[in-house]
Amino acid sequence: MDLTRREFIKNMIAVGACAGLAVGSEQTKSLLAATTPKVSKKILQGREKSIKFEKEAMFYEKLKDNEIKCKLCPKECVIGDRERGWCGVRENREGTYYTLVYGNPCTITPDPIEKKPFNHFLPGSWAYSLATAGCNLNCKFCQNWEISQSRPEETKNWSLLPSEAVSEAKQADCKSIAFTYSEPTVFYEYMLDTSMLARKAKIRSVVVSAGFINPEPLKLLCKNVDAIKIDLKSFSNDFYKKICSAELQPVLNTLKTIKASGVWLEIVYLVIPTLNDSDTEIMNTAKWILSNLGPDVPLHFSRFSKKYQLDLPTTSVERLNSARKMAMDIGLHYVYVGNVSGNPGESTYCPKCKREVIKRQLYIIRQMNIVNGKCKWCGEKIPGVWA
Amino acid sequence: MKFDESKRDFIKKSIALGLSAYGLTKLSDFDGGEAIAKSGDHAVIIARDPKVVDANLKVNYAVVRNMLNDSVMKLADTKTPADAWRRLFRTDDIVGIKINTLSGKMMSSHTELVMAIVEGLELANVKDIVIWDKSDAELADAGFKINRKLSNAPKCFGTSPDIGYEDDITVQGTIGSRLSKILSYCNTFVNVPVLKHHTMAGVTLSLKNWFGAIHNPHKYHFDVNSNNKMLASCDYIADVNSLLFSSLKKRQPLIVCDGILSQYDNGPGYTPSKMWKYSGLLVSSDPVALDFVGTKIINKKRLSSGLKSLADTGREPEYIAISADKSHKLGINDPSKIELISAGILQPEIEI
Repeated sequence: MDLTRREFIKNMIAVGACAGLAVGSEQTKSLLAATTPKVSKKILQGREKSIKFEKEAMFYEKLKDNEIKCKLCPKECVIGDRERGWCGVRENREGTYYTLVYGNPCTITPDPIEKKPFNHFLPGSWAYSLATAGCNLNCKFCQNWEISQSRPEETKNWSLLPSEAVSEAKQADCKSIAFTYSEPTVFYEYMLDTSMLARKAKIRSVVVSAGFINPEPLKLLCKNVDAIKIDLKSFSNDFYKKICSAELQPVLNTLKTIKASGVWLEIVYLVIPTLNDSDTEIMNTAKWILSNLGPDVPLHFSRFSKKYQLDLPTTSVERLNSARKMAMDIGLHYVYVGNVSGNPGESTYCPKCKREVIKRQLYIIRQMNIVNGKCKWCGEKIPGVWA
Repeated sequence: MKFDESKRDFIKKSIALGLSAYGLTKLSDFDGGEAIAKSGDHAVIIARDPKVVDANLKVNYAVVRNMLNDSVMKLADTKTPADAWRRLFRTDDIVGIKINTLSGKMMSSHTELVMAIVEGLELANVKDIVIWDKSDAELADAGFKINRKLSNAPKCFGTSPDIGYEDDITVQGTIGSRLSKILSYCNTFVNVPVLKHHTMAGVTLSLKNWFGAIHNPHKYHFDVNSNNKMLASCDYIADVNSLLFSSLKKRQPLIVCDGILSQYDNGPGYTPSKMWKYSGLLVSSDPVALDFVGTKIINKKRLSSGLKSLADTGREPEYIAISADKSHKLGINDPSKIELISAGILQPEIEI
């Protein structure tokens, strides 16, 4: 078993803390306080609502009359002086484009890596998770819309420069830094600088993104991070347009680019009743992944529950299970069910001997049967980043 | 062009709000007020005076006050400023003066004009006045002093950083936004936009000024669902105004567009080479009519400066016509129904 006792205990605590389970006894409480990674008090001081015009943005083109064209994401906003891009966190000031969120995260929290979710990347480890305000999509079902759909002056932000984020992550004994919760694409410069410093400090970097990013910044990002999870919102361009204010094809391009780069890739598909849950769409998604990315890219079918502007029923467990079965039947090796604690689809199974190589419950690893990246029973190589 | 300086129908707004002062609660709880201008309320008064701004671009308070009061008297068809302001506002109104401070001191609503508006409201014995925009920082940049004290003096503050937006999303048509709590606090508004060009909307006048009341205006500058159609031709601006003045029944009895210094290209940021002294105010109760006229002024200046018209640059502000359509009914954009009235020394120099 690759999981250390300490990591196991931390996982146990994480389940209690993150899932809102009762943490009853004094002994458990003291254990929680002693072992859960903390954000240092020094960092937590001085949180405020502010923005700074200090860091020039990357990936933009200067146009005439102080206008600029942002080249970070496929929207390619053309922005007049004093206006912001669609993301709300990048502003044109007299022809120079600034990021307003560099070193100003509104969320800092250590999370279990399984919460991202990554099921094949350092299981049982902690990820020092950072997010700023802003997003270049507007998904009607966003779980974090309070920050993703806000401008940075509306969120309370800390000052945490990349070097500080790395040292804090190290101090908190986190194996990785996760750029997550809102949309890391829009705080690209902060993410890039932090991940470059993290690599020097032997801390991994993981990205949780919708993948709506232009190829040039994506390729540079892939050279500097270790894993990317993409939320594939649907396999319909109409859905992307109407529900997310984005487009499908750039996201598919992103998936292929990441796979070709060698960065570890996992995909989440949030199954939303009546909108993207038809057999046809599920099957088209799985077939595309198999044909373009291969059978070993993990695919998570996650449960939807109503949030933000989408008032629809919670996804049935039966629909999630059948989606998983369909995807596995056509040849995908690692298909998961997400947001359903206790579902067998949370665990990882060896595609050769079919035995459970990682037994999970929510964010907890109950058994680890991968040794040196292989199934401990049949020796089949299980793709992922295990150490 | 229709110059009618004779008597017009009185503004017949039934000022139905009988509500006493209240705290920062949702204004959707309140009922009453007139959301939409009535037929006959579609006058646009243009007051121009070359003395309103000097060679150093300093605004003359006495001149701007006279321009404003002359205009308001014509709008309300009264003989005295006090009667005019009382006709538009009630003593127990909680009045928000929504200014535009995006572009620093030069190309924002001028402090002298806002002082004159406050003085007018005081003639109507309005006691609760809030001068506001998106943020404290932008207000300060434009020369306004932040004042949160609960005294008889007008309060002045931005939604950010401290007041904030309502927790819940409000949806209207194409818009889904959190509304400024200042918007919720006030029941009646004086809208004080600036006469200027906007790269993505064509112009930013009275209708567009309400983007400063929602938390996510950046999401509504172009429409990704319609081949990146620019804000100029989207429903967004009309829907924000419908939300405020139809659904939530806010009142906007007075719009004063600051055209003392104006900008005909490259807005909304201040570009000195594209600024000109229009030396005027546009005053109306009808946001659509005012924006229709304001667009004419900007277009005329563009053409006389050798630039293409807004339409020829693909930035014709179609949202003005959308605001007048059957589903929004926010005002009139039919030139035959708009009364263009001159109140100043200089003529408006436009035809509609």
